[in-house]
Amino acid sequence: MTEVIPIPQATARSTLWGDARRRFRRHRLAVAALVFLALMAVACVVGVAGVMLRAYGSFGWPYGYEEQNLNLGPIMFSGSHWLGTDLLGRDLLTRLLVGGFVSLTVGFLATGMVILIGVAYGMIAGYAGGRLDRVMMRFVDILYALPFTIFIIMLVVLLDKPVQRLTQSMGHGSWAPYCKLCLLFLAIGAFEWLNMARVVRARTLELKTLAFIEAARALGRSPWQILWHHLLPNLAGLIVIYATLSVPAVILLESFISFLGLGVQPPLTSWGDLINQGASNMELYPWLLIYPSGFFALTLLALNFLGDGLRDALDPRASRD
Amino acid sequence: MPPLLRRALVRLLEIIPVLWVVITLTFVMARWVPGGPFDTERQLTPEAKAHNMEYYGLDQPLYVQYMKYLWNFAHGDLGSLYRHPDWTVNELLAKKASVSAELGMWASLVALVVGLLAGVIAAARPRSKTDYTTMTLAMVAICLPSFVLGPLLLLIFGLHLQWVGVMGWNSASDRVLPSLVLGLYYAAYIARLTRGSMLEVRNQDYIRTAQAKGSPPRRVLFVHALRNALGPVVAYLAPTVAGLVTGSFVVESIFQIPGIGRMFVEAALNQEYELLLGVTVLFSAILLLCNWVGDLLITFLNPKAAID
Repeated sequence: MTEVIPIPQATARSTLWGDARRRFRRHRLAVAALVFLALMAVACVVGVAGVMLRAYGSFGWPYGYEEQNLNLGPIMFSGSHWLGTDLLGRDLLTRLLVGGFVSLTVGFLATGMVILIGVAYGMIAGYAGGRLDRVMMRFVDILYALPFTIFIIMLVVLLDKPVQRLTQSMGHGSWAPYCKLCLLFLAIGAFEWLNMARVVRARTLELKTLAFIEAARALGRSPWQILWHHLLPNLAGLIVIYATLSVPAVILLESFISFLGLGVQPPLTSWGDLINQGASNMELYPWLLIYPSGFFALTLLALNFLGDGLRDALDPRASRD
Repeated sequence: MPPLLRRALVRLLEIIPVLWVVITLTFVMARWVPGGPFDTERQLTPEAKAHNMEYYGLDQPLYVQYMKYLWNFAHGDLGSLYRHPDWTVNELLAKKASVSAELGMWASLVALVVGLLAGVIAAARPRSKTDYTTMTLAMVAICLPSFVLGPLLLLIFGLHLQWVGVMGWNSASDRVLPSLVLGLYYAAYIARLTRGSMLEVRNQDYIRTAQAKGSPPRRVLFVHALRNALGPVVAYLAPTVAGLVTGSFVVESIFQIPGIGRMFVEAALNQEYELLLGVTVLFSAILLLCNWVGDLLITFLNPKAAID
């Protein structure tokens, strides 16, 4: 007589993303960072929406980001200006939110470009292998060796006048700052994808030798189907990690360029631009430097903690200690 | 010829085509933009402008100018300045680059010493209070890039405490803040890298052997573990030094240091083509040479890596 051994029932299905979520929640700092970032993003969006409402309907936010009040001048704090005003009496909180919106938007849009180019390039090179892989990676190596900060600065400086002329000839001279901003994030995105491509290619090379890809090929799936349905889901964790790391890198680069006075143009502003203005007036009005620096550094800190937490959650092998 | 030496030479020769790509890209980008060095606010008469254009060869077809530039470049002549006729690009670069090089050197020293020390100290007792404190400080330093840290330190030490001068590049005390500002960011990265790879090395057999034969803990940490943990740090050093050179853009403008970084922006704004090309080529050459040296060092530290 054989004893029937009960099959142990799984109490809860454990999936990749479920496990990741559980591991992420244990990471207190990362959760706090996520909450902080969400609040910051919401505040920036509310600020911008309020400013736009005010511009079109004269209600909404109490101040415009470019509204000057020369009678007021720079003040540190008042009941109506919580973070004070700058040299021209513009409300600093409003400018910080609008600047934050610009900085975060550039960060996320450029990262979107990084994901698009980097993932497609890396997957194709890795999956194709052989000569195509070698040629594509050699191209990445060459781009890698170029001093791309310099190229971005050069691009932004050199294209300043043509953009202005072009927008003026189209009869929309006031669009020039926005066009330049788009150009900036295109330029940043065009150089930042290299890392993503390398990482994705390396992981694709690993994955393509595994049985499930071979099985898919044996079943007659086309290369594109394999890339899309079988490889991409397995790369998702890696892509999320590297995308989170590229957001602060891009924000840093944008602020760096705006700090040099080459990025966003007035009346538009960004955190780097605000820090620049604060730095030039810090002897008399230190809060103009301290508040933007604080906003910027805290956001960067939160993004980095979030990246660490996501790496622990999605790729536990990579960071055991 | 031994294979390692051969490999090093090949990698060195590979720098030349990349430099050519840099020159060509920069040339195309700079020339594609309308306007020229003599289109200033203060209008020159058409005759004077034409004379200047002819004098500097700017009236010739672009491909002729391009070939001429390459020819002169191969002979070590980087060209002339359009707005400061009594200087050549070679002279100006030599003068300004020495300032930037000194700043970069001090900053590299800060980055290496502080970064390695902090990383080793943190890795000595993982998950201890020292570890967490050091790594949190490193994270904070990463989130305070030069254009945030620079003005803040200047505000505290220059304006309020008045320990150091506010700007310029004259006395020794002028070197302190810029080097710190430039170096600390990279020190933080090096600290994180060092800690990570030290922790990986820590569990290896030869470390246990060293401990078992009675080497003092400090010796095990700094000699046995550190040497083998250096690989990733060295690999990171090349972009670091390049970052120190380009990072000096901001630091030079904050501290009013007459270096090469500020000149680059001015050259781009004024369409000083040959100066722009000169600075770009110089930066690229530094970056490529750093990569080359880093590559050599990695092979030297870990000969296995050369066989791929």
